[in-house]
Amino acid sequence: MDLLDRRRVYIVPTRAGLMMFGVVGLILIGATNYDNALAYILCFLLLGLMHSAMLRTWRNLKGLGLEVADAEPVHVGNPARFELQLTDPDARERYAFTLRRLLPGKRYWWWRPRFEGEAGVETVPAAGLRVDLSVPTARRGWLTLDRLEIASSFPLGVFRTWGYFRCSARCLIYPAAVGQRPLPGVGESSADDTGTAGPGVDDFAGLRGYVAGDSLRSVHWRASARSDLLLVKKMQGGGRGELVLRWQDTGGVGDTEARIAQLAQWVLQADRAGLRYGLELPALQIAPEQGPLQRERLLRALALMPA
Amino acid sequence: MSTARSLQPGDLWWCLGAVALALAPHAGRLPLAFGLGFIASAGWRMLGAYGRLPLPDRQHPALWWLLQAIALASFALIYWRYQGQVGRDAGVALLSALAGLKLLELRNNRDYYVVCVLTYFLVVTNFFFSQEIPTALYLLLVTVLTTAALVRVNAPPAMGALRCARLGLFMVLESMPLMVVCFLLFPRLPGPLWGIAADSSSGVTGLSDEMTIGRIAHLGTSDEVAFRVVFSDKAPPARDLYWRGPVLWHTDGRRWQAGDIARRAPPSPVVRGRRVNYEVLLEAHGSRWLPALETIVYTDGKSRPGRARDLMATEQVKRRLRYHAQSALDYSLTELSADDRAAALALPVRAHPRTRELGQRWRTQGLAPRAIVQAALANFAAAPFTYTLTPQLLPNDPIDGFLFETKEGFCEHFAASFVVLMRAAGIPARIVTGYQGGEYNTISEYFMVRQSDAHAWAEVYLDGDGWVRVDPTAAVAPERVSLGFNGANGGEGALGGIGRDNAVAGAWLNLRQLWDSAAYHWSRHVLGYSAERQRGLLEALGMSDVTPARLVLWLVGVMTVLLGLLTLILLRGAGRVVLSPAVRLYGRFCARLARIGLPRAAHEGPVEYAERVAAARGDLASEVRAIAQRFALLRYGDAPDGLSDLRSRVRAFRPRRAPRQ
Repeated sequence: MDLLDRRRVYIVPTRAGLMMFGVVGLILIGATNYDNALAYILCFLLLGLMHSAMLRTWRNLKGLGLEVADAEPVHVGNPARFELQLTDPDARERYAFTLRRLLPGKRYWWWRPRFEGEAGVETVPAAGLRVDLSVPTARRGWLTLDRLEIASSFPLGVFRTWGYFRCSARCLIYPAAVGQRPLPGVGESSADDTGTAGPGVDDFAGLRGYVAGDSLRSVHWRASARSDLLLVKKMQGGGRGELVLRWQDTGGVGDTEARIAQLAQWVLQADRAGLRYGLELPALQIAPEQGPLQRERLLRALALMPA
Repeated sequence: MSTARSLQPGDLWWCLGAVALALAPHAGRLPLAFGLGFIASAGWRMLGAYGRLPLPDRQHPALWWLLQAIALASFALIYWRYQGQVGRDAGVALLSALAGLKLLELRNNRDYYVVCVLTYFLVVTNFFFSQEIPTALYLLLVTVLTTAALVRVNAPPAMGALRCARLGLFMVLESMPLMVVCFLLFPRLPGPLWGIAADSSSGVTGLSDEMTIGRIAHLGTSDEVAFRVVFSDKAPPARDLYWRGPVLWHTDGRRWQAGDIARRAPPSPVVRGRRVNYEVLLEAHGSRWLPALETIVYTDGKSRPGRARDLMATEQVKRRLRYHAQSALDYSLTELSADDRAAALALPVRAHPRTRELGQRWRTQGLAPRAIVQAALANFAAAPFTYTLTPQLLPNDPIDGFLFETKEGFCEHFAASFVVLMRAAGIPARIVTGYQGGEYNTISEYFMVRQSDAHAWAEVYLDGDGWVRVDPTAAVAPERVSLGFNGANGGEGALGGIGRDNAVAGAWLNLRQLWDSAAYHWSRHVLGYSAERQRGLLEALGMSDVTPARLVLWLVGVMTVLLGLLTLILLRGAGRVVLSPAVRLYGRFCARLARIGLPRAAHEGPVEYAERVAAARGDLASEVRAIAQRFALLRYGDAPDGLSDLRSRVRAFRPRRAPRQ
């Protein structure tokens, strides 16, 4: 958990705050000119109000804590959804925040930082609050949340306070699954298969436990109802033979990224077809296997393949 | 800023209400069109917010152009109405118009902030018209509301209106210590920075430097405070409380004025007996005269006495003025130059023939001046003269008409005709306008003189005695003049003689005195806090040689300490822990057990603790277990109800110490 201590909470007046300071100055000039006691009083009251607003704005943020878990992998283009857990060890009343991810990169004082993804928080209860933050994805590979800005201008909007949570939480971004070419080898292997007598793709071969990623369609609901576990129909696809998706098969598709995208699409297609499939990359070979674990293993390999 | 939420129609009510309340006191001061225009504009905006009317934005270019036209028309109206003057009234009109127009243009949070900040500024504009306590309290309320409006637009919608208002109030209260320190220590620059616009004291009332019949009748009905006086030691007797204002020498038969002679150097009095020192807190009246008891011998203000020893300030009294004065009650003023005599005997040619004839008759009868004065007063007392505030009009010769026909009038009529009689009889005489008496405030020990105490009397020059005060009104209506010229009346005066036996009237008087006492202290200590008072305060605190630089040092020092303290209080985390009701109840339960010698250890959870207590005290076991279980369910389980059960159980749980075996 990362906690915003007082050294890491920053605060500056907003445009409205600068306007307020301007009006305080004007009132002071008017009060001096007309020697008007109540104008002086209001001028100093507003000054005190600014001070109170500054403290309250800063206090609103100070001491907040944040925990972030790794996000489920997504394909490029889909937003990575991080589950943030905001906690408040001080159990104070806190209101109106926004959370944004600070885009990594070198920053200069004259350069306005850039942000992406935004989530609003109305209040943080003493028990903590779960916030979903969607971060847009543009590149395959690891996306580390890195720095998360939390900001607030509650209560008066005349000061804006902000701080950065350091987050090591990350999300694996799978390559996009796009490509024109059909799944290679399916034609010949299925032709081979017709000769050998064996059970087909949809042949029921027993039950196994549910694994994350299993299609809901494959759940055996009736059997699950009888047992404590969610049971999935195990299909006998082995008769179809094995398919190895090879890097060299994607030759001529385009650049490296396009080839990876084509491979990713094949992985999804092969998985959907219930095949046993493997992957052969220039530096990596994965033996054919079946099921969601294999799909994720392959997509992960593709996501992390050096460009 | 992206941290702000988007504007809701409900937020608009806050902002609109704050502006409307800040502008409300101006409603009577601005042309009617402004008030109506503001209401129309606010109504249009609110109907627009709820989608009933289109708003003048980019989607409706025709309406947008209409808005520009209205804006131009408003500015033209202001220019025409105030003749292009740059002053207080025109400024307020302009700001009000801007506020009204900005409402129609209020689209996003930034506009909302602009309106709120403008509202704070509008609050200040009210202070240039009135600084009384009710005004100050009302505008403090508007300030709280404006702050709450800012909270509203920054708070999540789930935060209720009441909590926004409460937070606004707390924040205003929090800012008060800083306000007080700054108010006391901020260096005051002397004098206006660019001069005060001519209109900034319009609407103030008071005696003018001249007198035409009917003027004081109007004042007689006004309850406004003219000035307040504190005597540094014993107050003089009420019959001497003649507060002299402008002295009028010259007349054209109807109108009395100070005349050229008034500007000459004052004669020196021969002073006998004691002098009285007093401090006057004079309300702004727009003229130059300063009230003083006769005869003034010293004053600290920027003022000097005129030829009749009437005190004149060097500039017009445009704001509340405080000065010290010293007067000698027993004196003689015997100096009378030829010019003085001529001015004090002059009567317009052919005016007041009958009055003149009467005066001349007394003179030819060989009466001594003193006897003539008595004869004139006797004439007022004997003939059926009536004192009234609503006399008949005197279109022809006002003096002859009053003395010989209508025989009704108020102090001006009596004073003027008396002076004409004296002059006709060859006795130098002049009119003194001013105030008589005053209400003594027993709570804060000062005299309050109202506009309704305005009075006019005469001064005649008697050989040997010099100038002597004669109050002809007293001959007719001694009750009008609390203690008149013949001075027989002793003791009870105007000083709170109103139905003392009546308890209700007494209470009412007390209340009124209390209120005026507050108003007095307010104007003396708060509104009248000036550079001199500041110096006095700091010197009383032991700081010598007050310079602006030192003031700033003090200000910075005190503010540092104060802000540090405030910061500590506000940032103290532990003080603000919000406990759920269940935790509070459980805390009470634990406290009761601790009292009988079974405190909860820091590491113990509710169930564990209950088991330990149950083991130690079998008689409490079932109840302790029940409470612990309910609390655990409420706190850690997902049972949302059961709080009332827990509450009733904890309330009923009164364990006693186990009897010693």
